[in-house]
Amino acid sequence: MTNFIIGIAGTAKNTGKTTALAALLSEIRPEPGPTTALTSIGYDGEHFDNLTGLPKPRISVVQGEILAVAERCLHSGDAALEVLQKTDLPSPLGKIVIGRVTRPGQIVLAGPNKRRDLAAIIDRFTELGAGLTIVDGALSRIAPLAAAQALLLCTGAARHRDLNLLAAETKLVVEILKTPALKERGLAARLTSVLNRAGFDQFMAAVRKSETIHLDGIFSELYYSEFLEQAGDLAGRRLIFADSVKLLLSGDAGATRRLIDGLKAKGMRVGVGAGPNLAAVAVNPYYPKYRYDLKEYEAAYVDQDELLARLSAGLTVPVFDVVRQGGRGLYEALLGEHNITKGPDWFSRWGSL
Amino acid sequence: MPPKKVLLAPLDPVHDIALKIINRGLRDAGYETVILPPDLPPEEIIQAIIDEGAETVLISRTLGYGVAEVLARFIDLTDAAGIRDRVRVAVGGMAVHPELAQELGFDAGFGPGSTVEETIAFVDGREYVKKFNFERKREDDLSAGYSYEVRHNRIRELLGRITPLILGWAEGLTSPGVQRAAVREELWDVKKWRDHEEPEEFFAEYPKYCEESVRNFYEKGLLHPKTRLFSQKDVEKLKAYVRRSRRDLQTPHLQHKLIKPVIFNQYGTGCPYMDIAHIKASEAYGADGVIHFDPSWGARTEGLYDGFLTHQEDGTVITPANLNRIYRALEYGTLWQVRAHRGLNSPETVVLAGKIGANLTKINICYGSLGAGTDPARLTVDAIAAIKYAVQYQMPFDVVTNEELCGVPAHKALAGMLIVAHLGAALGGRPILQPLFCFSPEVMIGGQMDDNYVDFNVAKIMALRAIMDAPIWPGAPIGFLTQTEDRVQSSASTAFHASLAAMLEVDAISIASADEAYSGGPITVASRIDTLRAVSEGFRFFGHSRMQVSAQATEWAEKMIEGLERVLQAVAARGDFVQALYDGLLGSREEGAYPGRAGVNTVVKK
Amino acid sequence: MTVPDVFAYVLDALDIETLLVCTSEEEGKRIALELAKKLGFKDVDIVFIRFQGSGARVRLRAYLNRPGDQYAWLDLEDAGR
Repeated sequence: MTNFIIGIAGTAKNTGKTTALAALLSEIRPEPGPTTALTSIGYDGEHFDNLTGLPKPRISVVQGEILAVAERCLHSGDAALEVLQKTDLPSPLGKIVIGRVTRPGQIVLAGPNKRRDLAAIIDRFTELGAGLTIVDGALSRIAPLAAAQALLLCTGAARHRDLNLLAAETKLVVEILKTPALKERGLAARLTSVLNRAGFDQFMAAVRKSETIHLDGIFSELYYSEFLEQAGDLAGRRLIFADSVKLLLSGDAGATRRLIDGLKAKGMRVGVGAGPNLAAVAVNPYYPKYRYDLKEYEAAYVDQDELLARLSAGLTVPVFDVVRQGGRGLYEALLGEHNITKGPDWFSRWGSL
Repeated sequence: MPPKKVLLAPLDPVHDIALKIINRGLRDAGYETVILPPDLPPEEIIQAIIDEGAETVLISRTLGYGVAEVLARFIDLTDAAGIRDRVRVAVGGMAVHPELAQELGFDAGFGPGSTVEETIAFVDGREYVKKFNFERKREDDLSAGYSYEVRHNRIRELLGRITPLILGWAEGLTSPGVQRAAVREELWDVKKWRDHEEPEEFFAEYPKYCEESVRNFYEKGLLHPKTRLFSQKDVEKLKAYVRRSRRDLQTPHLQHKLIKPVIFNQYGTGCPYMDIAHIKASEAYGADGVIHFDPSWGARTEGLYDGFLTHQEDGTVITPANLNRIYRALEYGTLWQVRAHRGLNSPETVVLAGKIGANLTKINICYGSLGAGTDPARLTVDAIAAIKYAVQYQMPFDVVTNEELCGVPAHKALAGMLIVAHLGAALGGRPILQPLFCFSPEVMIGGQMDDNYVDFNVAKIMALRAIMDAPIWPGAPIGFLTQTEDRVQSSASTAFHASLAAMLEVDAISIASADEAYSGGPITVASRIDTLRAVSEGFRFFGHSRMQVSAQATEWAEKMIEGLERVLQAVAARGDFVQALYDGLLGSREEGAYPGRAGVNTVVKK
Repeated sequence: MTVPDVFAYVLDALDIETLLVCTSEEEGKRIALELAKKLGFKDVDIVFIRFQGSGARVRLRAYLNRPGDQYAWLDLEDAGR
C-alpha cells in the first residue's frame, strides 16, 4: 500500500496555499478513497497574519483524517484528535504528534518543518494506512517538498503586484522546476555545492576533468557569470542537479534561466536527477496593502481575470484560480490520470479499502 | 566530550549586537563559538557552517515584511546544500516567536526578552525550563546563620537580667488567648479539617474560651457585622479563578544580581479572593513573600471565627478557611507570613499559621501593648506562648517597632525590640529584628531627616548590628510616612528605601503599594505593581553599588546605642518588665504610647 | 457564550491620570468628578490632586470591583477569551 504525496509550495507569503489546500480537500473528501493524511512544514491556520494582522483562513479537518501536528497546536481549534503516536521529532511548538481526527473542526496545522522529519512522518502516515498525503508549505519554502510526487505551486499578487513581472517570473520558475531529467555520460564526478570561491574553483577543476558533474546541493548565483565566462571549453559536458528544486534555489529564476541558456549555447547541458513533478499552478489575486496613512495593512486584490489570463499564457502546466473556479480542475491536475503514472495506481484500490 | 560548536551569523546587513551578547554568554559558559560579521550572503554562511563543522547555528535578523522570505530562503538553502539535517538552527530577533520560527523552518525562535540561558539550553538540546527562584525560596530561612550573640557587653548583661525577669513573672500565668491556643493545638486537626471532617471535640471546647460574639458564631452561626460568608457558588467560581491564575507563572528576579534582601509584599483587602489576585500579581512581579494583614477589630476579639469570610474594611479576617484558601493559592516557594504581634489571639494565630503552613509569623510585646491597644500583661503572657508555638512550628518571627510611628523615639523602640528578641532567642526561637525605615514623629520634630532619609535609617541598622548578631528585616512597610498619594512619588520613595536596604545588606524588606498613603478606598493591584516595578528598577540601577556611611549616621548610631542602654538599664532596675511597660519606660504617654486596654485583667493563674 | 461587558475584565479599578486645565485645586476636583460622571462611573474617588502651575495633576479612580463584591471577572470563561 503506497502513499501518494502532494506538496503545496508558495512563492511568497499570502499566495493562497491554504485556500488551494481547502479547495483541493473539498474535492477529495466527498469521493470515496484512501485515508488522507495532512501536515504542514510551516504554521497554518492562524487567525491573523503574524505580520500584517489581517485575517487568514484556517484549516478544517474531517473525521478519519490523519494529521501530524506539533504538541502545542493539538488543541488550537475545535477539532479533536485521537493521539496515535507522540513522536520524538522536535519543533519550535513542541514534539510532533500523529493523530486521527475524531471530531471535525478547525485546527492549526504545524508539523515537521525539516525534510528528514517530514520523511519520517510520511512513513508513519503510510504505516497507518494513508493513501494520500498532502503537505502544506510555508512562505516561499520549497526544499522539503522536493520529495512530493505532485507539486502545486501557488503564486499571486502577494509575490508581485505587477502582473507582467509575475507572469514572467512564474514562467521562469515553472520552466526551471520542469527541467528535464538527464542521465550521466562518461566520467562522472560528484560535488556538493558551490557556495564560495574555494568551492567554485574546486568545481571548475572537477568539471574540466569529467564529462558529467553531479551536484548534490546548489550552485550559488554569485558565481554564474564567472562560470559562463569560463565555460568556453566545456562543450559536451553535463551538469546534473539532484533535483529541480535545488536548481531553483541556486538563484534568481531569471539569472538561472540565463545561465542554463548560456551554457547550452556553449554546448553544456544542464539537467536534473529527479522531480518533483510540478502538476499545477494556482494563482491568488490577494495581497496585503500597506496603508501609510493608517499605518496598517488592508486586504487588496488585483484584477482576477487578467491575472489568470496572463499567467496561463505560455505555461506548460495548468493554472487555476480556485476561488473563482473551485477545486475540481486542480484536483484533476494533481490527482488526475496523467499524474498517477508517476505513482501507484491507487484509484483501482478504492474498492478494497 | 568536546564542547558543541556554535556558529553565530547575523543575516542582518548591520545589526549584530544581540548576537555578540549571546556569543559572550556562550563563551563564558564554555562553548566554542564562531561569530561571522554581518552582511554576508547566505551561501557564505552555509559554507562557513560546513567548514567549521558547527552543530548549532544561531541566526539573527530583525523582522519586517519581506524579511521572512530571506530567512525562509536561508533555511531552504541549508536544506538544498545538504546540511539542514546535520545542524540545529535557531533564529533570533525582534518580533520572533515560536510560531514564526515554525513557519520559517527553524528549530527554535528567540524573541526579545530571551536570555542566554535559553540559548544555552537550545545548544545543549535541552528543553528550556525558565528557572523560578522558587526552589531557592523554600530553603530560605532568613534567620539562618545568625547566632543572636549580643556583642555589646553592657547590653548583653542587661538583657541577660531582663529575660529571666519576664519568664519568672509569666511563670504560672495563663490567659484565654493561651487557653484557646492550647485547644486549637490539641483538638483541631488540620488534615481532618481539610478533609471536611468536623472537629467535634474542638467545637465542644473552643467556644468556652471565646467572647460572646464569637461564641454566637459557633453556636448560632451569627457573623460579625462587618463580614459576610461567601456562597457555595462564589467559592466554586473563585476556585476556578485561582486555577486559571496559576498557569505558567514565570517570574522575574526582582533583585537583579543581588540575593538579598528578600522582598515581602503586604496584602489585606478584606476579601481573601481579592487578596489572592493581589498575591498573584506580587508573585508575578517578583515578590519573594507575602504578609497577611488582618483587621484590628479581629485582634481585639477573644476568639477566631471560621469560614470564608469577606470583610468590608482594611485587612482580611483571620479564619482557618481564609488562611487555608490563601495558602492553597500560593505558588510553591512563595514565603508567607501571618502576623501575631498584637491583640488577644496571638498564640492561637501562631498555632493556626503553623498548622496551615505559614513560613513566618510576627510577635512583639512592646508595640502590641503600647501602640496597638493590647494590655501589656496579657500580651506578655500571650507572646511567650506564641514564641513557644513559633519554635514548635519552626517559624521565625519578626519583632517590629511600629510604636515609633506613635512618637516613641527609635532608641526606646529598639530597646523594646531587643528585649523581645533576646527573650525569643532564649526560648529557642528565631527572631528577626524589624526596625522601621520611616518618617517618624521623632524625626519630624527632631529634624534628623530634614536633609535626607538615609542617615537616620543607616544609624538604626548600625546600632543594631553593633549590639546583636541577628537577621534584620526593615518594615513596615519601608518608607512609611514618606509616601504621598502621588503614585510616582510613592513608588520612587519605596524604591529608594529598598535600594538603601540592599546597600546595607539587610536580610529582607517589606513593601506595600503606591496607594500606601491613600485612605479613601482599597488598594488596587496596579498600585501594588507600581511599587514592585519601581523597587526592581532601583535594584537594577544600583546593582552592588555601595555608599559611604556618613559621620552623622555614625554619630546617631552611637547615640542610639547609648539611649538604648539607658532604657534597658531602667527596665532592669525596675525589676518588672510588664510594669515597665505600664510605666512608660519603653514608650511614654508624652511620646504617644499608651498601654492598651484590650484584654486587661484577663491574665489568670493556671 | 454571552460576550461579557468589557468592564468585567477590570480586576478592581480604573485610574485616570491626567492634567486638567483649571485655576485651583477646588476647581480641579469638581472637574475631575464631572469627568468621572461623564464617563459613566459611579463609585469614584480622587486619589491624588495637586494644583501647580497652570493646571491640576489628578489621579481619578473608579472602583469597579471592591473587595467583598461579586467580582465580574469570576464569570469570565476560560476558552475562547
